Amino acid sequence: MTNAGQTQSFAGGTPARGAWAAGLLGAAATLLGRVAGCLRPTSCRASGADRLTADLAGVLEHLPVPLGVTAIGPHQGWMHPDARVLFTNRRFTELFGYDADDIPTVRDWAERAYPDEAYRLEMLNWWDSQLQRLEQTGETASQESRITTRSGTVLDVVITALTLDGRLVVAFRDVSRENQTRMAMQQSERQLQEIIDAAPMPLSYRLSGGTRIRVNAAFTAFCGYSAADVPTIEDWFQRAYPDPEYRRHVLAVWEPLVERARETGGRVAPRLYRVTCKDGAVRDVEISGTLAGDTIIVQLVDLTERIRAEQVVREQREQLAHVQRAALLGELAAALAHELNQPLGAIQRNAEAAGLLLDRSPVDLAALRDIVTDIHRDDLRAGAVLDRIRNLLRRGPLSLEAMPVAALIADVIPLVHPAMATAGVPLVVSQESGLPPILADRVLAQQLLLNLLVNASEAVVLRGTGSVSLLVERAADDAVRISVSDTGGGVPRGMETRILEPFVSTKPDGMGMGLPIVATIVEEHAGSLRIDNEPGRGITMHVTLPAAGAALAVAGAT
Amino acid sequence: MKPIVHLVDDDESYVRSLARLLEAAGFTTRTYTSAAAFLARPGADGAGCVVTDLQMPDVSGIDLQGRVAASANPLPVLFVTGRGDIPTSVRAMRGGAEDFLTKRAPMEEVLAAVTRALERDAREREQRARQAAVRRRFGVLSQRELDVLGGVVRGMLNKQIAADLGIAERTVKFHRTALTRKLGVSSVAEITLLAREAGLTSVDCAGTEMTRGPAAADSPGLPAE
Repeated sequence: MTNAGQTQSFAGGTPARGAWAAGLLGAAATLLGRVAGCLRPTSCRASGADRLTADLAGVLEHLPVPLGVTAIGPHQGWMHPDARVLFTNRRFTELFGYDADDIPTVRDWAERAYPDEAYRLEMLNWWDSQLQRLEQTGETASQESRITTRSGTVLDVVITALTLDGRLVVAFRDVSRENQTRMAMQQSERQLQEIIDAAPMPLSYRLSGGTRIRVNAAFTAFCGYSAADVPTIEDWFQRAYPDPEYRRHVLAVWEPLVERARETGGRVAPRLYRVTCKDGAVRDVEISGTLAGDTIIVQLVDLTERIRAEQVVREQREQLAHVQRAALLGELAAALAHELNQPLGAIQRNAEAAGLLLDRSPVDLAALRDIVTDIHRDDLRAGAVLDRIRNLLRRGPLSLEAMPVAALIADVIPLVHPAMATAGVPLVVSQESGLPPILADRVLAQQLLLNLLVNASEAVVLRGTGSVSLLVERAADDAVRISVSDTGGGVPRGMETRILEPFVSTKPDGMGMGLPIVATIVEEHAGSLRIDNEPGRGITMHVTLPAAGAALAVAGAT
Repeated sequence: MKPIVHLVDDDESYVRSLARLLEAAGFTTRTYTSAAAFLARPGADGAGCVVTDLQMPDVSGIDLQGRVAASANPLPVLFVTGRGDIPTSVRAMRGGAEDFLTKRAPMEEVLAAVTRALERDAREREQRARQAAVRRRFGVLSQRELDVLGGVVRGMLNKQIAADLGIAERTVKFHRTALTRKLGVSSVAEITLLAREAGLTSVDCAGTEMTRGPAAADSPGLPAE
């Protein structure tokens, strides 16, 4: 049976169409065959020797198919004088406007139905060839034909015929509307193709009914592949993603997105893929899709430059942070050098003492042993200071780890305390117990806290008196708040946001990068920064950072 | 009693190592991890010197040096510090430090500095003792005798002294005789020398800083004015 929803783009009738009519006729023929012998011919429109029995005519009349009956049998072509039209049913007349009186012979029918001579000849020749087939099989093939009606309208019709009682029963099926719809669809598909072809962005789409794809000029211009290079989707996947493992990954991402789009009727969500172009270059491409009927229009957007620019920005940020860390360490260097001179000085004195003791006799081995133990310990002490400095000067991309805040404080205090002690700035530290670890880059977290403490300390020094306090406590279930307060006099009301800007400094030789870097680091860690400014009294900087568990959960959901 | 080198530094490890070195070199040491601990030491008037760190919590090295200098036993103070910058050393020396060393100074410098400091302490102790003795000697002079002595030390003639003090010349002579007898000297030169040894200036002669015993009264037989 025909499938009305089919959007095949083929011209010409398919076997399925004629089969419907033929099936119906076949059923009628079987029915009539049983009654044929029992009935006498009654009045009939056709004149002459051949006429239909009233009952046959009655049945044919009531069939819901436009029908005509001719005297032509398998042995007589359309030219035969006996090629008379014996009967037409009402539907025939409704469809074509002709009745049996208008078209007494097949020739008359042909002249009116096919006014164009050449076309008529074509149709009648087909008819004759089918008559031969009739002889063998009892039925003809179906043929699509353009028939001109009485009123001059041209209809697309499918004709089928079969023999019944030595006569030919011809059935007609009007497929004009079907054809119009199909042509309209083909037209719109062509229009879509034209639009896609002309679009300035790289697009590709799968042709209906298969795996063949079409690509537009912009697509070829972008990645070098023409339709000949990637005739099917498979070819695209093979060539764009030559590495089998990466290809598997791409498919694992792409196919579920297509599924989701089909379910929700929306877009195939954009994702970034590394596409290998025809010339071998690999580009970062954002690929998304739009559903159109049962095909997907796929769009490519080249993000290579943008990705590269983002990478550059990231590198520059990292460089800047490194420079600032070095500057920070420079500020602390004098005090840190002093820190180093303690253990190194002790090692030196111990070694000198050992030298003198060795000149005595007997040698005091116990004393020497004590000296060696002390030297060992002081060496470790010096090493620890150097390790802290070296760690802070490390360069590299962001590397997040679950970090206990106590460890952060233990890393930072020894770096900043000597300078604060020298400057006479008291520091009070208090931490809540049972704090969850934060998800942070170790070096950046140190830089953040160091900057806050150094800033606070410098404010106190500028003012001449005051103190700094560091408080760490829980902030909601899944975050930790680090608050650094100073009584360094604060800044004028309204300047709170300005101090986060680069190159703004209240110190005569200040670089003004400390707080901007703090803001950047807070942002990179998905944290938040709040400033409590009390002009005349001091400032408290509150940094809230997500706990490791929560941050990982958020990351997993995206 | 052997002089003691007092080592003051809040860094335990360093102070212990320094003590070791000095002991190995033959000095006697005591260690303290704070200025307060040092100031509260028993036997606070003993001979010796102080080696202190500049940077300490609570009382700094400079403060310590000030207190020691003002005390009854002003021991010499050396600074040993991890900070080797010039401003710090200048500040320390201006404050009256005996010497200024870095923690990384070579052993020889440290030992030499301590030796010098102990020598200086010995010298100063002796001088203080001598001065005290001399001051006691001058304590027997009356005020008028001291006034005359002041003039003599300044090189004034009797006549000038008499005019200066508003007394008769022969009274001046009288007092002169008395004071030379009390002091047990014979010449002006000796008087001047003694006075200088006692650290007396002409102001001191007029002042009340002298310890004067019961014999500090005018000699009998003072001529009438």
